[in-house]
Amino acid sequence: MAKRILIDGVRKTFPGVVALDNVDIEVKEGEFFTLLGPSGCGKTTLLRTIAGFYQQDAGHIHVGDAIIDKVPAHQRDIGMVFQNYAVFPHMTVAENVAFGLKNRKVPNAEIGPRVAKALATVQLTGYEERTPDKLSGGQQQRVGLARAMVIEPRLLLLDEPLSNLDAKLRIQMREDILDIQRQLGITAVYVTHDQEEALVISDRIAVMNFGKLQQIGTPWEIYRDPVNQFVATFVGNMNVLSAAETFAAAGASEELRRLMPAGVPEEQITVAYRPEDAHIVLSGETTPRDAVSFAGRIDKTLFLGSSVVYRMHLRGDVSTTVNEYVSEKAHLRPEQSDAVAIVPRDKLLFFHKEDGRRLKAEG
Amino acid sequence: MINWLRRNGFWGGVTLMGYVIFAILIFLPIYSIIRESFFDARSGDFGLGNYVTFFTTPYYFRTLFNSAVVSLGGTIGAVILGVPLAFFTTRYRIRGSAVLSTLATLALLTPPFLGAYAWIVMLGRNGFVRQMFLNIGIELPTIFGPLGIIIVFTLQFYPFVYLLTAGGLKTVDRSLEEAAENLGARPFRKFMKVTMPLVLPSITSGALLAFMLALSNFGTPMIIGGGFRVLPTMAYAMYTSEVATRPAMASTISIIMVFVAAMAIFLQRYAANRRKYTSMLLNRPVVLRLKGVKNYVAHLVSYLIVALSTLPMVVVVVFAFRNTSGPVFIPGFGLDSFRRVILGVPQAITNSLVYSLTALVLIVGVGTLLGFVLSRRRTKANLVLDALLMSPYIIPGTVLGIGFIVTFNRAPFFLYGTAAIMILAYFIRRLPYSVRSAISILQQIDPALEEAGISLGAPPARAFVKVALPLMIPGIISGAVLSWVTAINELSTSILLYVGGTITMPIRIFLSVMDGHFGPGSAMATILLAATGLALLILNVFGDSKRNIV
Repeated sequence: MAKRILIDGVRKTFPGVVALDNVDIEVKEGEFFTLLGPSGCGKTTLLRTIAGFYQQDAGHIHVGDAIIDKVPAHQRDIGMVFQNYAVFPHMTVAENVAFGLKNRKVPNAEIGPRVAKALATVQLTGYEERTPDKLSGGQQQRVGLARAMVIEPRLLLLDEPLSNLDAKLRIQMREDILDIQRQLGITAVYVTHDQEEALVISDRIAVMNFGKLQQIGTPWEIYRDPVNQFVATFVGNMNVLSAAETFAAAGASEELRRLMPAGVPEEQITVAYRPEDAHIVLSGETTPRDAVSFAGRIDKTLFLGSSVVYRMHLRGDVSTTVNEYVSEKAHLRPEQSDAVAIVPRDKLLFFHKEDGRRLKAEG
Repeated sequence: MINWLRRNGFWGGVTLMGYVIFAILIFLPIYSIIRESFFDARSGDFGLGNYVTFFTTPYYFRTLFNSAVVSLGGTIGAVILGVPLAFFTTRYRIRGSAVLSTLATLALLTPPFLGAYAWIVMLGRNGFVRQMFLNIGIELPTIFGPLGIIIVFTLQFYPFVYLLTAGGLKTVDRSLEEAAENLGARPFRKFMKVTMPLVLPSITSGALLAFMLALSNFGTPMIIGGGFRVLPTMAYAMYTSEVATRPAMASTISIIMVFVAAMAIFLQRYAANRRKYTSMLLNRPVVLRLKGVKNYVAHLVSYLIVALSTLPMVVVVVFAFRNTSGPVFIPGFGLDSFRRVILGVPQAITNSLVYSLTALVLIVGVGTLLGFVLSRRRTKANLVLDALLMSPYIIPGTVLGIGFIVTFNRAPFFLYGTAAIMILAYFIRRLPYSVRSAISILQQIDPALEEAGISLGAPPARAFVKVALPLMIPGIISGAVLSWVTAINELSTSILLYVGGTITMPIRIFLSVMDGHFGPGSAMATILLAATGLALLILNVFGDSKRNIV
């Protein structure tokens, strides 16, 4: 049965480190929820605390209506998929999947069909009698997945399950995981440091850093409406410019000054925009009046196939990046040309330089 | 107590058991010796009198110097033989290098006193090699004395340096040496500046092992030392002469021995920690095929080293089949010596088997549980226990034997002369092998596997039995074989603890040799060698072959 999870003021310290600093999260029934952050941010600690491998110092974890703080790990009825697969090397695929059922004293007659069904779900029918050393990494992780879900847990935890797979397989597996989770309707908590993976797979994301929650929101909110500079720069690419420098040297247009947040000194503000929100025109070409422009020079033109990345340096020593879709060769801007980066005003974000908090634009 | 166990569960109980074992079988004996060492040998006063006597009387003090000389000599010899052999066999194509490695391992597993004994057969006063040379007019020196001890130590302990250095050389990434070449280093400079520093920790670990074993070795200096006394033989001699009184000097010498061993470990750890490299082995080193003279030299050196260390075993086996008349060998071969051993002293054989196998069962059971707890539950209590349980490594057998007698030959134990005291001695001396083996195999087993078992609903004990234990079996077998081989060959502790009825094979051999009965001694030694060889075979077939046995 899918269950709601409530993480209520959970705190966990290791000698010298606060791994989790009063974390509050509510995961809804059947939701695919992702903990995202750089290594050491506490996301894995939180997952392992939910699984019962760590005991929190303070706070409570609710699954459904029950508080599970005192329940030992093996009685929590929570499925877990591990980063290194953790497929038992001395058991066949079928034995691996049956392991949890046997612990639950499921009648033998029932085990066979349930194992077969789970293996069918992860597309491993026919692999029952293989041993794990005969399987690829992707197949081993499917065994891990089948093994975790065959016990029909209240909750499925996934600890960076794709990080050991190669790039192509990762993209395929993440969609498979999503399909299986939707099909079973199970509540899932997923840990990753890969922001693209998090955006693709999640209903909602919690971004963490230094043991603290930064923001909880849908992938769209996290990407388009970050609450602070950390979230803005960790998820996706972001140009970050010092406002003062921008005015002094970087050739910013007057339009920017009208947008500057009020009440905070100029030198305390950073200006940010995503490379794909900007586009480039050469000097002398007309610029739209309601956009902010930054004048400079193109250092490098990097052709990526589907898009082109321009590395520019603005006047002074400020550099910035623009990512544009270019389908006509004539539109490629050559290196070493004087150019202007154009950013629509609603795509500009402002942050406080000291604490990184988001500042509201004027106008 | 009951509450504590309830709170900490089964694994808490295992930790507690570890502490109880340490307290009774290590702490108590050592504490007893320390206490005894403070009671003056003559006056019985409490104080540092014995230590003053030791350091001011040349008769005693010289043994410390002697021990240092033969231990360091043996260690240096072991490095001189072990490092080139390791380099040749890992970097050059040497025909039959697998056989060389097996023979070296066998040499390592045979007890040193057998080697010493074989050298008497060859280079004793009437040794056959010496006789051969006398017949052509050359008088070779005998094996007796410090130089002989150093030779036996060298040939006995070089395999430690060899195996550890070879292991180190195999994990030096080829790219590092290629980078040195690419930057213009000539082969010799490349070896000295890049390869050598990277394997130095392995070499020093091997050298330390050799040094520790040489320092605590009792049988070799006892058999071929002549009048040359070292710390273990002096402690033994003092103990036997102090039987009627308190073992004051024996205890004092014991404590000095432990102190020297502890210093050696400390120095090596300090040196090793200063230079510690973790290697991500991406490119295995290349094995070169040498040509011409270089090829012959490499082969000759490798074969010669291994042959020299195998020679004692061959001699022992051959002499076991030679006919004897009393203590004298007569022409012809037969099974006479075996008959005399098996019919004459069957007790030594059965005792050895019963004691070593009983100890083995205890060692494997306790060692596996302790190894699991120490590697998977890194609590403060377990970290301390981990260090404490390694202490038998620095306690020479002679010292433990004296400690056991002082401790257990009184109320409430009264174990002296029983089979139990022999088994307990084997158990505590070899337990570290088993604990280390379990820990080292567990390091190769991802803890996530047990967590997966637990998250799938297996209680911790079931997760251990169903998941960790089956994966640990190769490591457990390796540890068991090592423990058993070293237990059945144990001499230095059991020689102090045995009485007539609890005699074992090594003691019997030792007594035969001291009496000059080489025939039965050789036959018994051959049986012991066969058992060792069999164990090694088991290790190669079922054991954790990827791991070095040292």
